Amino acid sequence: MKIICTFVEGLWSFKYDGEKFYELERLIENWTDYEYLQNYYSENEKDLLYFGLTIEEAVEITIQETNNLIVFLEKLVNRNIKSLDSIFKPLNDLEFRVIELSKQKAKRRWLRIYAIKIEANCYVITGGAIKLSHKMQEKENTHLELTKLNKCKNYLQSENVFDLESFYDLIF
Amino acid sequence: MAMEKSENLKNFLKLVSDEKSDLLEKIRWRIANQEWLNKSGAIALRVLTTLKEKNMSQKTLAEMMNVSPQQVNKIVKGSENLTLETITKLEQALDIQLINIIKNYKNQNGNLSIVAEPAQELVN
Repeated sequence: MKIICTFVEGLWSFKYDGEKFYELERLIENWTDYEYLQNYYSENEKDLLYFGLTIEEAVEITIQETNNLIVFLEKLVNRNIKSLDSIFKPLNDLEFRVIELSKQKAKRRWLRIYAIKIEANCYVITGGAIKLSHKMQEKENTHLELTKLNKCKNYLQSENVFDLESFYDLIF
Repeated sequence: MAMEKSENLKNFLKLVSDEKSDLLEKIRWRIANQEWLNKSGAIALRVLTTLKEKNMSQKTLAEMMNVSPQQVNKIVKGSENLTLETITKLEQALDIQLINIIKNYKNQNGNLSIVAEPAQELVN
C-alpha cells in the first residue's frame, strides 16, 4: 500500500495495491458514476425501503451529496474552511455503538469518508462507503471499511506511526 | 509531548509516496461543468432504468445505435457531453423521450403560449 498527498494540506490518502486510484479519488469516481450507483442501490434495494426511496431517487440524492462534498473539498484548498480537526469527527460515538441519533438519521448523510488521525490537523484517509445501515459491522461494505481502518492502523504502527486517538469520519 | 508528536509525523512523512494526482483538476472540472453534467446524469439514469425495465443489455443498445459498447458505457456513467444526434439515437433505440424543448410563442393578442415539443403529439 502507498500513502499519497491529496490536494489539501495535512490530508493524505491510502492507495491500495492493485487499485487505479487512491481512496479519496476512488470514492469520488464511484459516487459520481450513475451506473455504479444504480448497481449499488439495486443490490441494496431492501435498505432503501427504510428510507421510502426508489433506486433512482437514491442515486440522485447521492449525486447531490457528492456534489456538496466536491465543493467542500475544493474550498479546503483555499482554507476557507476551518482546520481539519473541526471537520473530522471521531467514529466511536456514531458508528460503533448500537444506534445513531435520530437527528442524524433524519439528516440522511450516507456518504462516509474514514480516516486515521496522525496528529493535530493531520489525517490519512483509509476509505469510505455509502452507509445505509446503523452499525459498520452490519453491512459488508462498511464492515470492509472497518477492516481497512484496522489494517492501516497496524501498518502505521509497524512503521512507528501511532494514531493519536481513534478512527475519524469527515463531516461535510 | 510536542516532540513526540513531531517525531510521529516525521515517521509518517517518510512513508508518503512521490506519486502525484490530478484529483483537484478533476474536481474543479466537475464544479465548472456541473450544469450540463446534471443533465447528462439525468439522461444516464433514464437510460439505465429503461434498460432494466426492458431487460436489455448495454451491448444490445450499442448495436441498435450503431455505436461501440464502450460508448454506451460512457453514456450511462453520466459524464458524457452528449450530442443531439446521440440523444436522438438513444430515444429511437429505447423508444423513449429524453428531452423536451419548450417553445415560447406570443399569439396575436400578445399573450405567451407555451408549447412543448413534439408539438404534433400535443396537438393530436
